[in-house]
Amino acid sequence: MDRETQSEAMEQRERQGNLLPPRLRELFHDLIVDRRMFQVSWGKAMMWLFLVGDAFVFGSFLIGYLAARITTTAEWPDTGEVFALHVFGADVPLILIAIMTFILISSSGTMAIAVNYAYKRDRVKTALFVALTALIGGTFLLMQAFEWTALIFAKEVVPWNSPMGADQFGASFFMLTGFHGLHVTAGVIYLAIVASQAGRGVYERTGNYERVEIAGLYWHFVDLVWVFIFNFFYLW
Amino acid sequence: MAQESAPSTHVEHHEHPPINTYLRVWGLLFVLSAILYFSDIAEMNVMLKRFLATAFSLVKAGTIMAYFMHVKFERLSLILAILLPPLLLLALAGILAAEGQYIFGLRELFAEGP
Repeated sequence: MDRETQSEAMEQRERQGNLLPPRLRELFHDLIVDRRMFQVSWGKAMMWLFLVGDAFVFGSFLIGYLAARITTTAEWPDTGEVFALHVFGADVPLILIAIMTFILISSSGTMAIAVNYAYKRDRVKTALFVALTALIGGTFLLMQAFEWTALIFAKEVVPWNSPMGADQFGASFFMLTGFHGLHVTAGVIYLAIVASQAGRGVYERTGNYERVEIAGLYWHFVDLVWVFIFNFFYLW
Repeated sequence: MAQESAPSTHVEHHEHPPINTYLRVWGLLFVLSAILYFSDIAEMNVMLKRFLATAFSLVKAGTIMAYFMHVKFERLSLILAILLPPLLLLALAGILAAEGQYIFGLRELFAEGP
């Protein structure tokens, strides 16, 4: 085959490739070509791998809760009443959980802003907003500690017994929120480290702010899980 | 040659939405959560409440992933690798829900207690 027919064949293949919608072409290209598949850095790819695995763990816990709740013949406690808070002389149902939800969403917002400043390589503002996110995460943890204390000592709900209804309530509650709280705790420590590194100029020296973005992925995932716990456990 | 015909394969390729986009997403999440909270307080029909709550939660989860976690700006291969495997959980949920109904029936028939 001489040069001219070869380039003609290439052009023809090119045209055939163009028949596919651009997104599918991109997908087939990534799947077929013999080289690394994901066009992201290893750090980011591995964080995603971890998060997908973690999604399975949280998903399984939620499904375990679903099974426990379907199979119990005892009445399920009303979460609005259980998590009511006595403020301004009246019982406001679920108010603590609502505040915790808003707090976690806010921390996700400050994290997104931190990542935005990381793209702009703004050392001070990146460190500041990551630290602020960790601080708001710490507030969430304090409120959760308060919630647990009130539930265990005032309302006498423990994993094996709950006086206001099905015993599976306690088991599901401590399992779900406990594992989520563990993730928030780990996240606060993680973010504190990232904030300190960003502030000290570690990323500025290496010229790579991607670790802020990767920490952001983890933190947003923790917020994402809370969305589902809020819906299926507290609101259901 | 295949590499050259592919749409932008540069590793460092990123699209950064402006900071306003994040603030808008933040606002949306706040509003949706507030509506959910008040729909729980106002004692509306339980099935309607659950349907609303689940729909809103999916919207919330979607916006968090798309904008905060940048999934919208990733390539399709990564998006599918992230989103498809967890769908298996739906099968597990379906199986356990069906089995759960059966166990509930057995307990009502034969057992007392939880």
